[in-house]
Amino acid sequence: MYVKLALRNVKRSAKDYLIYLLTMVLSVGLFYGFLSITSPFYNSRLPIQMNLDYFSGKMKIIIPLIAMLLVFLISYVNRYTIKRRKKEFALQIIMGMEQRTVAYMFFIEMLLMGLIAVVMGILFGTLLSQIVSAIIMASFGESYHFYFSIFPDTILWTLTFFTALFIIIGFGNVHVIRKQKVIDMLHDSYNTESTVTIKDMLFSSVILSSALAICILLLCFIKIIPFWNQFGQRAMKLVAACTFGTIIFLICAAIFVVTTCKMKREGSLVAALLSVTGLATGIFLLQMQGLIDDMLRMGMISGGIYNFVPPVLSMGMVIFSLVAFFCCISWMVVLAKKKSKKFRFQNLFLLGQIISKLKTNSKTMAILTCVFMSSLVLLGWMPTYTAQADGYLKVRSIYDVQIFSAYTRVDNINDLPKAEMDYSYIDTYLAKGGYEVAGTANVETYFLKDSDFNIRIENYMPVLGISLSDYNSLLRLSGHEEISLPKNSFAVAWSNTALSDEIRQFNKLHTQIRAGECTLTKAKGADYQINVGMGIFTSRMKAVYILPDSVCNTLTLGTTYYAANTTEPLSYDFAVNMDNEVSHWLNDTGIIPKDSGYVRLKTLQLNEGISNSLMLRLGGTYTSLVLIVICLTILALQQLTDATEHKKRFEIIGKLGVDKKQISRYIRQQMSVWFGIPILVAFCGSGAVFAYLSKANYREYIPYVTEHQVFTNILNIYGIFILVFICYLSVTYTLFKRNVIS
Amino acid sequence: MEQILRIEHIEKYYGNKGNITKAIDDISFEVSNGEFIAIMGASGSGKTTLLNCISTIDTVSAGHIFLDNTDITEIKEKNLARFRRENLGFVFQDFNLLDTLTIGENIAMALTINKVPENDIDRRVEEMAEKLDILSILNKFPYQVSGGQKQRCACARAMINNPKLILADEPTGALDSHSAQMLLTTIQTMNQELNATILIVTHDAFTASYSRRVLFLKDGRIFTEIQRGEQSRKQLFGKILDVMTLLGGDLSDVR
Repeated sequence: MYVKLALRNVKRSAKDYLIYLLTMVLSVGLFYGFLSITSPFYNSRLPIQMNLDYFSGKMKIIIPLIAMLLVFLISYVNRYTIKRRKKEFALQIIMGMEQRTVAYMFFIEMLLMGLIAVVMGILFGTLLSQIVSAIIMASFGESYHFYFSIFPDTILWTLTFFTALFIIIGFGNVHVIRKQKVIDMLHDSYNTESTVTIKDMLFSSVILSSALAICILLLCFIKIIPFWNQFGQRAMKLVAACTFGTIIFLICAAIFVVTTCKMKREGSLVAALLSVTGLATGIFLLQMQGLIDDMLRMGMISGGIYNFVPPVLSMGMVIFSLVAFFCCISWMVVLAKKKSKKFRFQNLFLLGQIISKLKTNSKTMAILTCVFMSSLVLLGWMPTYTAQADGYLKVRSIYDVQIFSAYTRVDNINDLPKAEMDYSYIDTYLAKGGYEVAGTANVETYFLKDSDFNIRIENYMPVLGISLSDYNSLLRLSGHEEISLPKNSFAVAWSNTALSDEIRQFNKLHTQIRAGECTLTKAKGADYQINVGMGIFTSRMKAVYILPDSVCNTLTLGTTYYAANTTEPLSYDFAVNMDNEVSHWLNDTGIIPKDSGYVRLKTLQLNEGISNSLMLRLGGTYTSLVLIVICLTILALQQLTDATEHKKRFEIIGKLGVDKKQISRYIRQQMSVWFGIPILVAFCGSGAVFAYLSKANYREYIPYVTEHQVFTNILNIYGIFILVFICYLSVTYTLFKRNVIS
Repeated sequence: MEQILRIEHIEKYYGNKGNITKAIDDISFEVSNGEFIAIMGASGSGKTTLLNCISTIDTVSAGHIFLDNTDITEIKEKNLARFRRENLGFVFQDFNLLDTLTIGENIAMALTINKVPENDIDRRVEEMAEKLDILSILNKFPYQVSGGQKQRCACARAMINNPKLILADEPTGALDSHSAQMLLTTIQTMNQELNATILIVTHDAFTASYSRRVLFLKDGRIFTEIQRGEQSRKQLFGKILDVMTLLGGDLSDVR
């Protein structure tokens, strides 16, 4: 009988929680699909020159971590189910079933439902892994073949992971059910908590965010403001804004606590103020991260925590601000209801529906909005970011072998290499491995004056010089035409990240330079933005002067750079060995100062670069998809599971004489508010973030992507999102209407 | 007659310091085996609280309740389930049947909870169903049958384990007058033929008139008590109405 009861319950719950089940199938499918590519069974199907070890190692950690987010969904649904089934549990207990038995029966029921979803999800995942595999093959430039992707280890891992998840959450449920008193379960019908005040909703959040604000204040006063004099105009303004914002926020929080607790006022206006100041503080702090990074680099502060604590603090503030915002919305609606004549009569019903929902769910709404926003930002910005990474990869992996030294790792100018280096070791090393060298270039860059060596401040790094013949040898190696230089003049080689306005600006200021004892003038139009590799731009400057050979002989040598092409690409295993051995030869045998030399092999660069960008793309897509699906499911579930309560209400107004058409209109309005507000806020918020990103990162991405592409990427994501959203909305609307009107 | 339920000076408070509501204020009475007793009172007089305390769903603030000489206020949490299933049967105002099970399964459920051997279950369910005239609907789901039938099913469920005491909270509250009458006749039969001890909580004089004894509660205390004795049901009904007028109730409260 118990089994029968549990099975029947599963059947009924399956109907109620169809959307939850679908979401679980989808999530398990995504999990399996993405995880299958990390399976050794999958690796054995790859061509030999590709190595996904690095990639799969990372993905194996990332995917389960992200899947942990599902805990939120599963426990949410379970909590909701318990709430709705309380009366049934109470009845079983009153009839003489042990509370423990009741709890475990629910546990089995949820576990069964979960396992069905997992099995179906794995089947779906095998389909999905084909798509993932196709993406990977395309990234590595291989053609895609259909393969059979049922891997025992992945299946086992998926099953174990999700079963463990269900069991852990299930034991939580058992605890919750066993803890409750029968009488409470019997009489605790679902109430809308219409007596909830803003204080009840917001008090704990205010205390928490005040603690965050105090942390921000401490950070500002102890770590940042002492260096006030060394900041630029903009940084000063930012720090001041952030500090004042935080202080105002704290004052508001204090006022809120006093007015609501002592004076027993509603405190909604203060809550609105808190929302605004919280948001401002969060944004200012986020903007200050750049400044904090600079301070870390200059050694004014130290410690890894400064990399993540400020963003966490600011995210906390932003989330609080959203919570406060949603609390205020219900208050605003109430205010509008009181003041306006338009809200009389039938609109009262709709408003009542919305307010009761908002009051009990403002926190969930705020979190959902945040998640929507971050998913949108992640999805929308990822194509641009990966295009930037891929573009840069193409630029830096131009030669098969590159070896360069960086003077910034050396403290004493006398330790720098004195003359052209002998790289014959590399050529013999390659020959030993069976690779024929097709061409080489061995170049040096020089300081225009020795004092340049000591300038280490970012944005003011000195521009080095390269001899014309060296530059030409690089051009030859990369397959470009050589250039020439008039007497007593210089040219400028630009890295591909330099934008035309930067070049113009630079040229205006540098028409004449002094290199050692000579004065040189700029040759007309001699700006070369040709891709000859990044090895000559080790000084973090985007430009290098091209000087006559004779001038260079008198200058101090700064960095050395060796590039070679082989007739065939290096194999992965050979490249790994070569990287180790050559790095050791370069850094540890006294050829150049210790740890100032770098080895870059095209095979490794491509493998790592592509793996990273794949990881970003796949991981990012996976995360955003999972998050969006979870959020939409929760939104839909909240409406659907309340359908029975709503049914009563709609029946009542139906009996009062409201016709079906009008009822349908109410449902539509109610749903568009419920789904619409989070989406609308998320769209506006993510729009603002996009605007900020595209402005702040303009110089980084524009060499690789056009503005139009960035714009289309974002619009695409919005479009797809709206499409998915409409699907969910219409499914929910149909189900809801069927529930309520039938 | 043998005494089955003894209630000694029980009290029940709600609320916290400074704002205490006394739902039950020192109530004592006794119920004998095979008795059919009704507890009446206006809304808020404490009748449901009293029932909840007797049924171990709620706990008392003071006093003792003895069922068959066991003090149920002292039973440990883990023994409660066993106590309930062996000694008590419940009938609720809103039926409280499990909508995932058929009528027959709902009744059988009470047996399975009591660990009755599987072979006996079907036979006992059918016997009980026949007595309560619900044999024809055993395979239907609760939403397919009428309110009266649902409540008779609930009665069958309460009775099937032969509990020492059957507790009913406004059993006719959700029924029309015809169904109510039928149900009350059923309950009366249960009392007379099966010798079940029944305690009904109601605010309806008509329902109470079926019992052998009526207790009136007012503000958490026992106001008065009527014994039916040799009187007819109609005479008892008349007396109940008199007491209700005395209690300050309006005759319009009465059906």
